[in-house]
Amino acid sequence: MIAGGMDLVAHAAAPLPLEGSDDDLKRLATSEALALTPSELRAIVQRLGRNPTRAEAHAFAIQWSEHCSYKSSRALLSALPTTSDDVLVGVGEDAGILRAGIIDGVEYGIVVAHESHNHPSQVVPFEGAATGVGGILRDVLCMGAKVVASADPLRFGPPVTGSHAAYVAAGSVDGIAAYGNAVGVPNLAGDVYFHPSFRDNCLVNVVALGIVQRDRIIHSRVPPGGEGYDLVLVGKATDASGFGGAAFASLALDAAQAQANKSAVQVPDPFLKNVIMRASYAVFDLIAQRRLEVGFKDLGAGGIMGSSSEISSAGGFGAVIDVDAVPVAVEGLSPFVISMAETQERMLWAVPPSFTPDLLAIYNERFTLPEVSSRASAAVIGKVTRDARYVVRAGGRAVIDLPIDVLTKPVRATWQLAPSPKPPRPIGAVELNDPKQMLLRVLSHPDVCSRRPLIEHYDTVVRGATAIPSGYADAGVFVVKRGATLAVAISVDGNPRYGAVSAKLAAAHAVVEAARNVAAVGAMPIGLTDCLNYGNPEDPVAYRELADGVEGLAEAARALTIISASGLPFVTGNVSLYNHSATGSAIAPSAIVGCIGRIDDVGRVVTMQLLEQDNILYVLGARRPELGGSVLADVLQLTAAGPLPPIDYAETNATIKLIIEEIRAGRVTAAHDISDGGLLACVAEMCLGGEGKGRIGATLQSPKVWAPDLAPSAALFGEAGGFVVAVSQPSAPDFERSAAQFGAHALRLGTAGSASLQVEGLFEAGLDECARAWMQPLQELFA
Amino acid sequence: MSQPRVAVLVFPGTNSEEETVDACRDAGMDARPILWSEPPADLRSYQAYVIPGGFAYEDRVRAGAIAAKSKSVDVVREEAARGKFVLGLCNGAQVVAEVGLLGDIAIARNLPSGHFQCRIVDIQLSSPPKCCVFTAAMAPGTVLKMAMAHGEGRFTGTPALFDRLEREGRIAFRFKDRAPNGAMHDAAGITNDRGNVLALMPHPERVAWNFNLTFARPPSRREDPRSPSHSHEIFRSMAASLA
Repeated sequence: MIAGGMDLVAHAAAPLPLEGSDDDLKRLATSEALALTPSELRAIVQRLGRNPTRAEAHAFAIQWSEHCSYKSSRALLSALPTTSDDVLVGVGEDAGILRAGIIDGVEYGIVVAHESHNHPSQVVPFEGAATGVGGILRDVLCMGAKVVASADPLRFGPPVTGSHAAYVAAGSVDGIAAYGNAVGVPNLAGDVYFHPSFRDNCLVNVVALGIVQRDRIIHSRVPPGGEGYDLVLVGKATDASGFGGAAFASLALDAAQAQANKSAVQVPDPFLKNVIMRASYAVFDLIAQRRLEVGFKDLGAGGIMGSSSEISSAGGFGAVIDVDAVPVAVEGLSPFVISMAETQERMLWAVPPSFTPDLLAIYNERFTLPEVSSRASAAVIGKVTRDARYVVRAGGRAVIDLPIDVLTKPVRATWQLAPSPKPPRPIGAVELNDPKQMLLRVLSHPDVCSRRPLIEHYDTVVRGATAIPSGYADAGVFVVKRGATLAVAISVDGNPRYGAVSAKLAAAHAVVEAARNVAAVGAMPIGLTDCLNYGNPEDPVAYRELADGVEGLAEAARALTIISASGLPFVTGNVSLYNHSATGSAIAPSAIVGCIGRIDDVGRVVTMQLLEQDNILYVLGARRPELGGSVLADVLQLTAAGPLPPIDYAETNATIKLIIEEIRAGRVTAAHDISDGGLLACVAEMCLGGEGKGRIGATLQSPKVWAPDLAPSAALFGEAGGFVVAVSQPSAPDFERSAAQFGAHALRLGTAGSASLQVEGLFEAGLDECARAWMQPLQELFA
Repeated sequence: MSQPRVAVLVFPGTNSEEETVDACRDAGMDARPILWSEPPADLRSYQAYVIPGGFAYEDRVRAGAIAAKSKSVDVVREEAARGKFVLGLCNGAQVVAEVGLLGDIAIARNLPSGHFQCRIVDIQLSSPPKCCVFTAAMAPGTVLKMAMAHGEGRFTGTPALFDRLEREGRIAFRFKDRAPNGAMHDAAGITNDRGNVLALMPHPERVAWNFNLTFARPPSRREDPRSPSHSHEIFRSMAASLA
């Protein structure tokens, strides 16, 4: 046992002899709780030319974790397109920034960040998911932005009543709601899928968006001339929570470890965050007024060490941190715990010393942080230095003293790549005995049914800037500024049933569907974000899935040349590996993609709900025979799995351009993307609307008319991408002319009207029956 | 003529002050956010007070309980007794109830859901407009879209008390369909006996512009998306009563 302050310092500063055989080093790593391999331990000695101190070894373990270093994915990610005229800040900072547009002569940017909190959410769902939201909001805030929206893609095991998967699902949603609602950030998009591969390893991804004036963007680095700047820590008092969190995120979960790992999950405090956000907005105003150059960075992985070393090194500087100046929640913490714990709700400023008193006054006096949360505050904890060393001092001596680049320079891990998987057995012809019954079963499938029972937990309207809340359309929409018409759309996608069939094509579909979703409200897709959720990269099969997934993303993003010949850029992203259960089965490959769209006139947006009797319904995008990965195949429990519908990029681009133009022109009154459940589920949802109360039905012509070459099963339930749109009768000729000009595949499907959903020659279903099948399935889970 | 001065109180945990200030300003009022750290006595110079939504003091103990004990709310209560206007929106309504400005009315956890519910709801003016300064300029029976977003919004009290509220026209607003939060008499907004204080659970300020409602109210599509929506009427009534 270690007792007494000086002993803690000596313990942290003691050199760790990294010598001996692999087994010796493995034993040492275990006893010191260092998530490093023997070869990585040797690499530390090689880089330093000496043994590291204990604190230094922990710093390396965090910086070289998958979570911080992207060591397994970095090389692959370089294939993604990342630039366009709309990218104001690209990959590499806390968040990316896309151009929103100009309002009254001021240019605005849309800040985008994307994170996962998969492992913590599996262990303690409420706290894990809540902290995921909290972390991502800070990434956006740190760019000098107002945080304005969030979106949550969720993946859980099958929602069997009383199962652990159901507990994880309900707890995660409660956690997201508790955090987002309290800080006042509306939840505007998201999706949820249930798949057996997520039973032991859920996915909780979070996207957050911010709005910032372009000339007020703050970067995640010490600015030029920043020598001698103060490093000011803001937020919650540091405790031991989340120590080793980054390393934890990079380990596979097993049941026994899960309990022990609970200490690596941080404790969220949305109440404090709410106040920190508002105080930071006041700081941003003052910085703009005084035209100061500053740096601002979130504390995430590696806590103070991770953030202070990265903000300094990114500016070409070093830093000295004084552990004794860090406000702590409890006494007796080791210096390396204080410098590396992942206590939530903290951020780091790099500011000129002349500004420090004003900065401290805003947080500590005007916004009274110390009264809001015990020992919370803003405090100077270090200095930016000219020499490129990273030093952490405690009790008068250095416990870390390294060339800063050695710590922050990326490492790379290379893994074996399994050969490409064999295509799955193709699904043969599927007979539809009772198409109406099948529609009701598809509508009540957990991946198709209404998300309202879940969405209702989220505040979707706080801020008073929401134009379309979650659940009413394929994308959520908010205005950049009240009093102006410029608006932003956000959607997230990624189908695990597709992932299980083809990692590459699933990733490509995620990009294309996300883009279609923002287009379905009338927005022009301008940028993408991704979170790559895969298994253990040390497993060649899982590594192949990751590599294929990135390839699929890159292919699709480059091919969507709607706004620019270079395709759509990824502006930020995240990689989450080691997603698999203790039994070793990896999750369905899950590239989850967010798409950001821009709308010049918010007054033009449409939802999926049919609003006018006698509108003509069109299907955009050719129907196809493939049923792989479809909800129909799942309902029928087909053992054959493939193939997925292929993607026709030329058709996709043409239909997206058409729908944006026709919504802008006011000819399209409702639009919905064809995805899970196929065309028939799409039309049913258009009849029901976001609340399931819609009373305008639809009469579709026989599929023989609009998909003459296909079996009814593929025509009605096939999930080849596309849209169904409603067009008013008088606008139909113009719409059809426009479709021909864009070269878009558009066929008359039927008409809106009547009080039922019918397909001529096949069946008629009452809207009430459809509503019951669609609205009820998730009510118990999220009650 | 100078605009009426309105203080929008901000506590630690408040999250709706911006849109509330904007909604007041768009109705021609000079509204300002006032932080909890500012001297409470300064509040006396304002003609009206709005307590906006959020989770003041983390809703510790129960929603609104801690804020109700704050010095700034003491000032608001005293000024209300002198006839100044107080509008409590959502969490603000909880503060207003907690501080006793409505008498023996409590606001409790939603039933039967037991959890936070966010939805767009139709709210109907259900007492004579003149009963309350925040409805005075409305047509009788007006139905407004508002955003319900709360987990504790169920107005409750003794049956006798609610019968009296009905007689006195103090249930200013009612959910048009059954109250999703289980409120007695489907109450959504209750005013005090003088009609200068209104506790309103759903948010008019979050759907106060046409663009907020195009998805839920198709006729809004024909109007300028930037202009105040019909839900903004409460703020216009307030401004008219202050003029």
